[in-house]
Amino acid sequence: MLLIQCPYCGLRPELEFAYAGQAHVARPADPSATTPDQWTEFLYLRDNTRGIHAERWRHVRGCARFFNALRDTTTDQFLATYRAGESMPVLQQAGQKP
Amino acid sequence: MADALHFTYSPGRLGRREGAPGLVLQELTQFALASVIARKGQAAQAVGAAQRAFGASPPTTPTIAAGSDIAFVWSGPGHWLALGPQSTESFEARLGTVFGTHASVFDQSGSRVLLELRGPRVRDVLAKGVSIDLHPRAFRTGDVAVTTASHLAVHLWQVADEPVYRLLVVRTWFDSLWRWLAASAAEYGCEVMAPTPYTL
Repeated sequence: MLLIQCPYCGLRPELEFAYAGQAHVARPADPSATTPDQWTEFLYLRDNTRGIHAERWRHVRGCARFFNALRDTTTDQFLATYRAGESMPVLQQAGQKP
Repeated sequence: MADALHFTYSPGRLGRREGAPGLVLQELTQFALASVIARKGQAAQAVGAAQRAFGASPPTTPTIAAGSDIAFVWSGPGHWLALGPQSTESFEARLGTVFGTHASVFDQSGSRVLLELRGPRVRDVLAKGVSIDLHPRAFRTGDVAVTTASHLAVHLWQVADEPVYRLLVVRTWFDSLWRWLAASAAEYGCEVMAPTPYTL
């Protein structure tokens, strides 16, 4: 069973979690000043990364909190998890660029 | 006991009849329960207020903290379940006075069933439906987990090293949880005790 480190609860089985899309997608501060292309970019367009992807997860069957994770989409390995609002951790291993 | 909303069971022996029971199961009744959720940025103040009033500091890690007659079960960051004995005084009002504007308090009394589980095979029984590691190196007395048991959301905590666990489950799911527990404990033998009033 894949274990995911919840920043609040610790190591928990994957089945307690729900994927919640790409992380660090910021809503434009002034929507009325954005162009339709910028709004489309924010609303619909997401990265389709092969490799390390920053994404939101929710510990829905536990503490119910959202947090962020760095996951390798080719191996499904979770490289780091961190609380919402914290900046993306810098991975130590060479060749890994979030 | 013949309440349409309350699943009923009888004290006695379930499953294997020979030898000592592997699981001893007892419902704890007559407790008051409330959720306490700190307002934005007020978690530290809420913890301080409870510490001064109850002598129990609501935990900031998944653990349980007990004062003289009240216990705080961690439920999430800035979120706790307060457990206390049932009394004529409103539990919600008593907590609300202490937390003031630092936290929102809602009475949950009657919404959950509290079970105490003990016996030599209690970990083996729980392992059939609880997917977290309950080995003493990972989960100790005082530790709390908000997790699932047989796919039902529960609060689980350890109250003694023997080990003894307490399991808090939503009342309307008690029926399902009970069936899973009875089936899981059958091979070890399960002694169902008569319900007893809650104590810390």
